[in-house]
Amino acid sequence: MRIEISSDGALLGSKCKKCGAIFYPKKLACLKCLVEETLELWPLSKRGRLYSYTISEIAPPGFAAPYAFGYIDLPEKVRVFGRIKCPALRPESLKPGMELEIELEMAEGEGGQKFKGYFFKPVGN
Amino acid sequence: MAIEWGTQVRDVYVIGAGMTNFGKFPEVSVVEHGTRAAWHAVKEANISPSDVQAAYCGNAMGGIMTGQECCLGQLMLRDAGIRGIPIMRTENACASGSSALREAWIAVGSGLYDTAIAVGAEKLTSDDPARSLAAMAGATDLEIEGSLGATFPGIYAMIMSKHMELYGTTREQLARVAVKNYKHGSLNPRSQYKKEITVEDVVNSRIISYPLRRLDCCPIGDGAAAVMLASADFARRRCQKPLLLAASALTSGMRDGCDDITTFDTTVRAARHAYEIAGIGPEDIDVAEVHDCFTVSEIIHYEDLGFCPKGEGGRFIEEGRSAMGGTVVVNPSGGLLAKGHPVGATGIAQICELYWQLRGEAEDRQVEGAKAGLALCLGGFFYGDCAAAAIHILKR
Repeated sequence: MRIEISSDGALLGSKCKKCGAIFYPKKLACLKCLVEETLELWPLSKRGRLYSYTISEIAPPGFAAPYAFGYIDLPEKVRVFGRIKCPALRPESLKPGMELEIELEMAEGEGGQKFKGYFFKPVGN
Repeated sequence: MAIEWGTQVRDVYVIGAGMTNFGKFPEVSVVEHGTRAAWHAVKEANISPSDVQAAYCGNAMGGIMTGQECCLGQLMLRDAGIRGIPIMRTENACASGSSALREAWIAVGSGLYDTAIAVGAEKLTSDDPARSLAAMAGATDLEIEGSLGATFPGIYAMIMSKHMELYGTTREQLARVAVKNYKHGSLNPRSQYKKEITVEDVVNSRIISYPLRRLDCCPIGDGAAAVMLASADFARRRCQKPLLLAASALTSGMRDGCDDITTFDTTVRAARHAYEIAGIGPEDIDVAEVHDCFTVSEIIHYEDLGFCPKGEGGRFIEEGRSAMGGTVVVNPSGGLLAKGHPVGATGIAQICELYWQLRGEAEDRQVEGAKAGLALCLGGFFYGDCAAAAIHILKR
């Protein structure tokens, strides 16, 4: 699957050793150089800035409305989608430009903890 | 991107159009809708079903919505008397119908066939409201967004927020898009919604995904549309007022994801392509059918299509420049917002409207003296851009 996490709890992207480009999610080949061999898995920053968000009153199966989600820009110049959890679920609680950090959701499974998902939360919360 | 093949494509004409009413029809199947539209387009073109040499069927969500995962084209067309010929289904999310049209254009323009039909049909209503939401999630990147809680309306809510943040586009300007299109819809006998609404109605409608409200969104509905295409020779022999399909452009997204989501690069590139092929500019377009899946979409389309500078889409609608009597009449059919958006049918329904407009057959919603029309149809959204943008230009 295209979402993979590092042992350190970071989302993994791909970095090209040749041109330095970083991609999310991980890729088969560098989309700039168009070669496979120069690509390596790259752990992304756990903090980024909110680009845009919404608070949804409709929810697909497995999610409960209302809930917030948005696009978070990481320092590696990649944009990540994520649900956002904040103490008060109001439009005023979130603002483009604010700093958010990722938190992984793990679940008990056979052989230990299994990665289930992730969300972002305001730094300091 | 240079257009290298232009001189090898022969002229293609639209010689007939047919469309069902759009709306919620629990008793009518997607196959029946498609059959009806195809039959009417063939009759309108004054030809026999046996004259159709190739067929392309636009349908995006037939599998998940109806269970009919395969062969919708063959099923719809068989009962319209069209069988045995090459039939193919095309899918590009909400641009499925336009993509079927493009394939029909390629079929005739390349010289391989003298006639081709493009039919689009969709049935989004069902006894399970969650199913259409799930179908729409299939137009996002499911693995990295759609299955993690992203919804299609939510993505456009973020685009709406960003346009308001960057350009000061107001809640009222956005509402005016819906008000205009519902007004046009009230003049269209095939429209899903036929009652006018006010800015207050939009602003007070229920929140779907902040700041997007119910009347900022196109509805769930069913319907079908079809157009007949033919070579110049064939059209000359059979048709009174054929319309030249002056341009067909289809692009796919190229962005890496960190770009400005208030402009769709796919649209901008497709528009550049289409205007160049047609030999005209945005100022020459009299009437346009664009992809107003949400109110902010139409405002972005004004900018991306070159009807106004970037960021000034809000002012464009506020000044009435996209309404009857304006610079370019946008969505005289009622658009996706009011006329409806049975996904696979939309791209072709847009061409039906332009066909009637340019032939002076648009009745109460006629744009006087319309000579050049443009249709913009988009599909999917990921990496900060639409997955597909299709633009067609018709000329009288």
